[in-house]
Amino acid sequence: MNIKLLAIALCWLWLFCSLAACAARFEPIELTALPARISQPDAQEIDVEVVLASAESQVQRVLPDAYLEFFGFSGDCQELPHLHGTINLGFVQVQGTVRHQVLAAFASVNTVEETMNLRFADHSPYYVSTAPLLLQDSLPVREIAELAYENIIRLGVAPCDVNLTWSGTRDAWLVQCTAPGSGSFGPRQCVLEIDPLTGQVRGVQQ
Amino acid sequence: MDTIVPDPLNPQSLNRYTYVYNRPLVYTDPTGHLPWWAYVAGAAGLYVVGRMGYEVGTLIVPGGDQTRRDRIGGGLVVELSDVIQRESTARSVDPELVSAVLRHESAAFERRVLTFWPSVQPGLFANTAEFVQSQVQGDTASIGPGQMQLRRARELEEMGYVTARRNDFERRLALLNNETAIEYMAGMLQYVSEQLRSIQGFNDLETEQQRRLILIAYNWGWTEEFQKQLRDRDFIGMIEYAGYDNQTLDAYLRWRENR
Repeated sequence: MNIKLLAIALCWLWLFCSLAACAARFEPIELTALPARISQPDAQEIDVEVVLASAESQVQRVLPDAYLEFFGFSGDCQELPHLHGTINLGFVQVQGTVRHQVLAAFASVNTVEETMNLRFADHSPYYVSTAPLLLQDSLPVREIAELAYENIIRLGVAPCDVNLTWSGTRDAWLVQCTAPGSGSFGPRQCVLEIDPLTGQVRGVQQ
Repeated sequence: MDTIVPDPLNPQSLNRYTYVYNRPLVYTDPTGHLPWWAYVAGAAGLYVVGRMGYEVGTLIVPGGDQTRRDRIGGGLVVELSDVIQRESTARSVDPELVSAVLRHESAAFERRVLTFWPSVQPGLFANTAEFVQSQVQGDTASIGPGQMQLRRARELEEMGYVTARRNDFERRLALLNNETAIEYMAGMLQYVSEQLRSIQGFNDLETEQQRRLILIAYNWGWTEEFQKQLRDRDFIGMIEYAGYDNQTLDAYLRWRENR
C-alpha cells in the first residue's frame, strides 16, 4: 500500500476524531438524596476530608479526572463552627485535544441529614475558571470556620445566615452574612475575608 | 523527462503519453505539470490557509485576540454608538454593557476568520456562513454580532423584550443585521438585569459586581443551570467562576480607556 496515501488517511482520521471528540455532547445528570459520609466511623464531629472524599468518589464515577475547584459552606451562623448545614463542592474535568471541553460536577452535602445531591453539566460554552482549589494550602476548614464565627459574633450580626467560600481563583476565604432565614440571596449584613495561611481577617464590611 | 507521479485515483494519469488527460478542449498544460485550475485552487487554498493561520496565530500570541477584538469589535461600537445609545435608553440598560458585548462578540474568532482581509468587518461572507450554520445546527447556533442563539431570540420576542419577527428566517436576518442585533443584545441585557434585580441581595452588591453578573447572565442565559450555580456559589463565587465574562468587561474598559 502507498505509504503517502496511508499517512494522509491517518491524518484525516485524526482530524475527524479530534473534531468528533470536541463536538461530543454531555447530557446533564442530576442525582438527589444520595447517602453521604460526613465523619470518621467512631467520631461525632464533621470531618471535611471525609465529606470531600465521599463526594469525590461519587463524582469520579462519572468524571474520573475531576478535581476540586470550589468549596463552600452555607447555613445558620450559629452552626458555622460545627459545619452543620450544606457543604458545596465544585469539581471540573478538562478534556479534549483540539478544543477543551469543561465538564462540571457540583455536590451539595447536607451535613445534618447526611445526604448528598449531585449534578453534572457541560460548562464548555461558558469558558469557566478551571483553577484547582488546593485545600491543603490552607489552615484546616474547621479552623477557618471558627475564625469566621468569632468575627461574626464580634461584629454583632448574629443571628444570621452565612456563606463561607473559597475557589481556585481567590487568595482568601470569603465570609458573607445575610439576614436570618434569607439564604445567600438575602440582604447582606457582613462581608469579610480570611487569609488561608495565617487566618488573618481583612476587608471587613458591615 | 516526465517528472509527474501518476495519481492512482485518476486512471487517465497512468498513461504517461496523453496530453492533459485527453481533454485538450478543457485543459491546457503550459508547463507540462499542472492543469490551470490547479493553480487557481492552489492559490485559493494558500489564501484560506494563510487567513486561518493569521487568525489562529492571534489566539496564540499573548494579547493578539484582544487586539483583533479592539479593532473589529471596537470599530463597530464606535460606528454604531447612536444605535447603542438609543436601544439602551429605551430599555434602561447600561450602554457600556451593550458596548462590551458588541465589542467582544462581534469579533468572535468564528466570525473574523470568515473575512476576506484582517481589517475588514465580518460581513456578507461571515453572515452567510452563520445563516447556513443556524439552518443546519438549529436553535442552538450562536449567530450575528451578538452571537445570540435563535431560541433565545425567540424567547425574548415572546416575552416582549424585542420586536417580534414573523418566522425564523426573519429572525435570523435580524440577528445577523448589526443594528437589529443590538436591539436583541439590549433586550437580553434588560431581561437578565430585571431577573437579577428581583433578587434582594443583588441590589446590595457594588455596581461593578452587578455589571459583571449581568454580563455573565447574558452569556449563560437565565437558565436553570445558571440559577443553580448562582445559588450554590453565591454572587461573588459566580463572578469568580465565570472568568471569561469578566474578561469581556475588563477588556472593554481597557479599550475605552486607551481610545
